[in-house]
Amino acid sequence: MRNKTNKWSWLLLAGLALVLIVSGCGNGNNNGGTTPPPGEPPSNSTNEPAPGDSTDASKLEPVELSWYVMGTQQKDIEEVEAAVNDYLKDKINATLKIKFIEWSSFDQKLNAMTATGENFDLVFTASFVNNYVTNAGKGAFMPLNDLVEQYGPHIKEKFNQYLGPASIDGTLYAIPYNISAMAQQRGINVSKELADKYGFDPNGIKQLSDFEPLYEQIVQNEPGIIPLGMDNSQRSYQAMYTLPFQFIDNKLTGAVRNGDDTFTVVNQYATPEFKAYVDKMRDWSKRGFINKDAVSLKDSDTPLKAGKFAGIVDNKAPGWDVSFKTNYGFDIYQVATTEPEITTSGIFISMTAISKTSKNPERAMMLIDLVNSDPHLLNLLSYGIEGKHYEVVDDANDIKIVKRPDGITAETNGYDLSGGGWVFGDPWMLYDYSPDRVEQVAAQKAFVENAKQSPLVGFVFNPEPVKTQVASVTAIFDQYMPELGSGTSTEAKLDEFLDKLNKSGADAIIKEMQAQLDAWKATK
Amino acid sequence: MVVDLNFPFPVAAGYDETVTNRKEPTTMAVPDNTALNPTTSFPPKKGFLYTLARNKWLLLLAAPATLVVLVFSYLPMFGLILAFKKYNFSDGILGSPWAGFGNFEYLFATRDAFNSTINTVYLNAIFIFLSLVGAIIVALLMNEVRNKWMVKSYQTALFLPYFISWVIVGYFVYALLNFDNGTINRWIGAMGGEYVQWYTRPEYWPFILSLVYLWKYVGYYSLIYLAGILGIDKEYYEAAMIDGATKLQQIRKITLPLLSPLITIMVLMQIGRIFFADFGLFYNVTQNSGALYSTTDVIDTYVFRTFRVLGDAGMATAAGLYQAVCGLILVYISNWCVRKVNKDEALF
Amino acid sequence: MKSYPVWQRAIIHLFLIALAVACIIPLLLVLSASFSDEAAIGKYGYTLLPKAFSTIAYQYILSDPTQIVTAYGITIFVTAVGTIVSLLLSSCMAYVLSRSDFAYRNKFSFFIYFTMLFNGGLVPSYMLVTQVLDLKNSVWALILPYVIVPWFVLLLRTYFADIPESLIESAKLEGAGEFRILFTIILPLSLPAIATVGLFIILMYWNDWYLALLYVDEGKKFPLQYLLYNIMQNLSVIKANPVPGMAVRLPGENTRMAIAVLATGPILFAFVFVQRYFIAGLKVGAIKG
Repeated sequence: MRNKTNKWSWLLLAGLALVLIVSGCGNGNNNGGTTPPPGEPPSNSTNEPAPGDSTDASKLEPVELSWYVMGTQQKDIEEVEAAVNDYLKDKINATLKIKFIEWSSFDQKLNAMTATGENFDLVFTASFVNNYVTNAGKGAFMPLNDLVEQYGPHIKEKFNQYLGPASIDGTLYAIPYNISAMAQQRGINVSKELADKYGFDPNGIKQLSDFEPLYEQIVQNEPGIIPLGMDNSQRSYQAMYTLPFQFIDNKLTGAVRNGDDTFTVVNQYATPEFKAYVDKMRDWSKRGFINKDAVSLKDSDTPLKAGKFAGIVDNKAPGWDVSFKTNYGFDIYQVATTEPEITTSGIFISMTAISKTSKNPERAMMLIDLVNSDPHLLNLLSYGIEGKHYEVVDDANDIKIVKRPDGITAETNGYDLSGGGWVFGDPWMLYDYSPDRVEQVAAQKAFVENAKQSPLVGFVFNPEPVKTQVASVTAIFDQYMPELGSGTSTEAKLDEFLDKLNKSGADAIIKEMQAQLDAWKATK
Repeated sequence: MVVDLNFPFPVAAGYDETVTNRKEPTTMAVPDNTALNPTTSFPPKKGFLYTLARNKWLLLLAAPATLVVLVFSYLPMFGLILAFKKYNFSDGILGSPWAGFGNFEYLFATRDAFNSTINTVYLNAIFIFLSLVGAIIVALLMNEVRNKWMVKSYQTALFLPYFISWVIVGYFVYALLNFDNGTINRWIGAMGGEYVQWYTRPEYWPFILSLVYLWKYVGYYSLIYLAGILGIDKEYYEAAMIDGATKLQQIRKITLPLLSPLITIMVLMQIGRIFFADFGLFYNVTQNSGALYSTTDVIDTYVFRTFRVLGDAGMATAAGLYQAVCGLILVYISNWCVRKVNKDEALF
Repeated sequence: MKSYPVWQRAIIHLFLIALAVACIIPLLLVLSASFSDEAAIGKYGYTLLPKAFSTIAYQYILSDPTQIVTAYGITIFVTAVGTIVSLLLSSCMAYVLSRSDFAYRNKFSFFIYFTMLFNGGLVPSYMLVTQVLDLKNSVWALILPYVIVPWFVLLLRTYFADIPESLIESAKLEGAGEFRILFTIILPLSLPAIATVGLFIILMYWNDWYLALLYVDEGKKFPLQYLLYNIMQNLSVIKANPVPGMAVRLPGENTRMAIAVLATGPILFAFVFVQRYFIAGLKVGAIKG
């Protein structure tokens, strides 16, 4: 009868369910923590042959590695993986699973994965995404010092001088491979057309007020164009980094004056230089140099494309004006406002880390070593298969100039990172679509060479002891800085800002920074 | 959109308790809640097992859903201890060191932090009240429209804002309120006034946000209440009209009282969530403008920004726990009050 | 029933029309912006009719039709299966809770409601789905977490409770089991509730991208909303973190609007379709008393 069969099927379901719960609970308890193999140091976990013998792949067991980077899912990813695996077989006898995670989800995804102890091998990390310091601090990454010694000869060759600064308290947690982006120079862009029109000399700028004659002209003669565009992201206060300080954190109180050998940490917001900067921004805003709606503008893209902004605050870098032109359609002069400098966040600009949960850290390190020394492999990962996803146009140099096959666009290409291959390894080894690339690389190399190393390079502040104050101070910064930086604040706001900072424990943060800095300095 | 599973969904009840009295005695002995009923002729067996047996079919029916809830909602709740731990990945959830109440400090450490709680609660209270009143008025009005086609059109139109994501709504509000080209400022200018920097004037925003909230949800809520109104037996109205009652009297004496169970459940559920703000609204419509934080920063946005900076799961969990406990206390009290008045209208 | 003076009716209509217009205009603006050329949006802002008609935004999004089609497939499957399973289980639970003679009614109600407030958070949920249940990259990871939504259950409960006990009792007298009662009496009488809740569940599954973000990393299994969300978000994220050398042409405002249209368009049809049951069912509800 219907009722009976119903009854039995429900009972069966309930029974199955119970079994599931019980087994689930059992696993759940075991998985309540993360699951790295307890206590085994990396070099003992597999039967690896003597290190340094990377060509003896036949001695190695085949393993599978997974690598998480930012990017869009590619149609032909399996094909490319097959080619990569083919190539890797002879070198390190490993197969690779490339995992592209969208830029926008990368942080959340990786956060969930590391927090739950998920097993994976390689991952991209930097200061601005999948934060290196935070993750290292929480134990997400494998310490790499020994691994580099044993399995990373090329890494040592290329990046040795950066391994130290990239370490936290002496332990290296990721390989800083992107030298091209390590040096940072602050600047302000101006439209080339307008600059030329009003006789503006991009090389004659010594201080912010030197921009004023040009801006004045633009305001008077070009209606509807704002000389300096800002929005309520960090653009509104990016000009602040022109001030003569070594900033320990982008937002927190605490900086060391340039040239101060005693490394005394001060509250940069309470200095006269900062007040002068805020006053100048206010002045600029009043005179119409800065857009009045900066505080509510989400991003400057639309006004830039529409030609409403004559320029924005932006870092200066070789080749950046080309990207700018591609995106926004007009030529610019990149006017520098500081000297090029290598800071800690520059070192962290792109790195590859090995997850603590990796089962094959030695092999992972070998892969990193290989990717950063073998152009064939790197470009396989970055451009796909030659002939199918790209064609070589000029192979006079190591840096080959390539193009997409005829009739194929970025959107229809089966494997196309649109130049985003720098997430894998040294961008100076990458092929490029633009024939200017060789010159660009040379310019970048010179740029980095000439850049000064910040005296604080390698120092990383650990916010944990003062995290409550950090949360409060950051909130106050977010609240006041866009206004202060874009000049739409009143004079009283600055005092309010300082007052609130003091009330939220800015001093405690500075004290903690000083203590950590002193300790770090002592080890130098 | 991110699904907020706890968003107040409409209760489309045609709840007319007075028409069919559930307490009506019937010839069938319907067992009531207490198993040990001295007036029954059953010899009192062991209470618990007896009740279990009597309700076994219902329990079985409820089993699959209970299982899903147990697995997907209750099992993960062990993660709540993160609120009390200094979480690091190597030690995992269970192994990480204890932090006492340290993770909760940042929610109260400064005036601004505590402000976020105040903003959350009072703004939510306003929202609950306004949407209730607004939705009922609209529902009543829609009920008066004779033409079926017009009613459907109104419903569809009013429901549309619900589909638009907060990000897009943020763009529209921006188009209205931005300094140079905003529609509102241009009107003000045309009337001879001065342009207003809307995104730096916190005092206007409780009002702006309430308006936007209403716009987005009034259609949605009104559908629920309309459904409730339509479920009311027409006989009442006919009888009232015969007695010469006016429209307003009919609304006051018939419609509203019969809607009250629905209203009660809705309000109760929302009270429980009063410490949870609608993140999309507060983050996107204000363009996350720092200058407005004093009146628009709510717990959820404050926690979100902190998490972006510190990445501390313990602190984020602590905030969620705080919101949940406060909400629970509040809804428990409210529910208790409702039970005093009318047991059946209570939530639990 | 009652007749109205014309002027009162006019006022009511006017008011409702004003509201309706306020609600429709933004949607028209979205539609118009999605078909605009981007520079025009920058110059003229949002207008009811595009100042410079262009389908470039759609071309960009739909440039890879296979991906979109696959995504639609995934979404439709998830929505269909999810809605059926969810409605079924929620109705069973709601029915049980609606029975005033159910001894554990209040306890179970509280059991369900409690989860509306307390949530273990991202980390344990992620652990549960990927490690304990091993559902990473499975469509079930997109369905199961949302199968029981406390709101819906309690909503259905209130509606079911409206059905007179006498009907249930007489059915019991005839020897019907609980399952029979639920499926042959309660559900047919509750069509409007089922339709409403069904619609909301459909909306929930259709619009979700969060579960995909967490649990799916194979491109073939991305649901529609996740795909669109990525396009939308990638624009902002890449802009916020430009790295020298990235020569990518970034699409703009019109693309965001096109995404909104593609995301919500189809579901509007679902709404209009379900509406029919809503009104009609209500009449049934009104009569049954």
